[in-house]
Amino acid sequence: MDKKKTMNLLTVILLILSIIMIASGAYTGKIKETERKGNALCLECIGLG
Amino acid sequence: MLFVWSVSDLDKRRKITQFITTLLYNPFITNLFKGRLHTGASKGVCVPGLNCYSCPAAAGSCPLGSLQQNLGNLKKGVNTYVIGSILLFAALFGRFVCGWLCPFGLLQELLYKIPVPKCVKRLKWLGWLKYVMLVVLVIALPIVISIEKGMGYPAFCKYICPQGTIGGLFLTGFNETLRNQAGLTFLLKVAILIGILLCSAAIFRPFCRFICPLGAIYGLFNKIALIRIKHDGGTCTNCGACSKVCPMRLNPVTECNHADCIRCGKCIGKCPEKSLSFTCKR
Repeated sequence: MDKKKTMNLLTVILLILSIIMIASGAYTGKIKETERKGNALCLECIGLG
Repeated sequence: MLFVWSVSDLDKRRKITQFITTLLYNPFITNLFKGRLHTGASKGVCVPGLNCYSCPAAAGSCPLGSLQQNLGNLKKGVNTYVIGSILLFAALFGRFVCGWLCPFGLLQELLYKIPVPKCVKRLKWLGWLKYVMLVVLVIALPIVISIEKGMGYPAFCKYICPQGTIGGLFLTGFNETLRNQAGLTFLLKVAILIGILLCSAAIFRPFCRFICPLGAIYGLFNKIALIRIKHDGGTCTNCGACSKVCPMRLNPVTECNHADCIRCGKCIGKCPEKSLSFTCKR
């Protein structure tokens, strides 16, 4: 397989993998977890923790 | 459509995109002066660029901060949503995110317009620092601390991230309770922020080039990302116009998909033979 095809294949695999990961995260409630973390003031993030 | 824009107005459109993105990431501007965070379902969405979720105006979550929060608390399991989001942005855009969709990048670029003597050296060895930041502060420290103490913290955000410090300055400025909590770490972060902003006047995007771990992640995917820069060797005359104009000090003829390329498109606009172009094709 030439380099171009390998690179294209890698891109497609990565896109599919990322979509599967996002969907699995959504299914297992990880979006809610991210939202909860984002809504709470992260003192470390602003240098106060 | 990006691919039919004339190259001459590419830079102007990039600037407009950067300003729009900054506003989309931070639409709750009035919160800056109230000393409190915006809260809502939108914080469940990871934005592509570096934008602290503890900034009072922020609508979404920072992918790097969310990643560190997760790595510091792996007992709850791997947050595949955050890792998947970073992978998706990386696979689609690579460091196009840095050049077009990052508010802190925009701030540094605006500061670079200040007329002071510019450093035009590539400083390639300093570029490795961002990978050290990624491995040590973003990945290793949160995991090690969580193993030691049961709960880790986002080490890069805590000690370095200047983007979060900007939000912190507004919060401490308008919220007395938070102001009283500011200690030595906060002073260190303010010093880092001031240092980076001062350097930005002389060096093009010093934070993106030498420190940003998110840029380091996206850079690793530059070669395989959907949006790339294509160099046509058949029409190129090796005039060197592209490398003279590259703000990241790369040579687009040989390094058009280098991990440090932020896809600003300046080389595309400058090429007299139109040998460089944005493309999705190989």
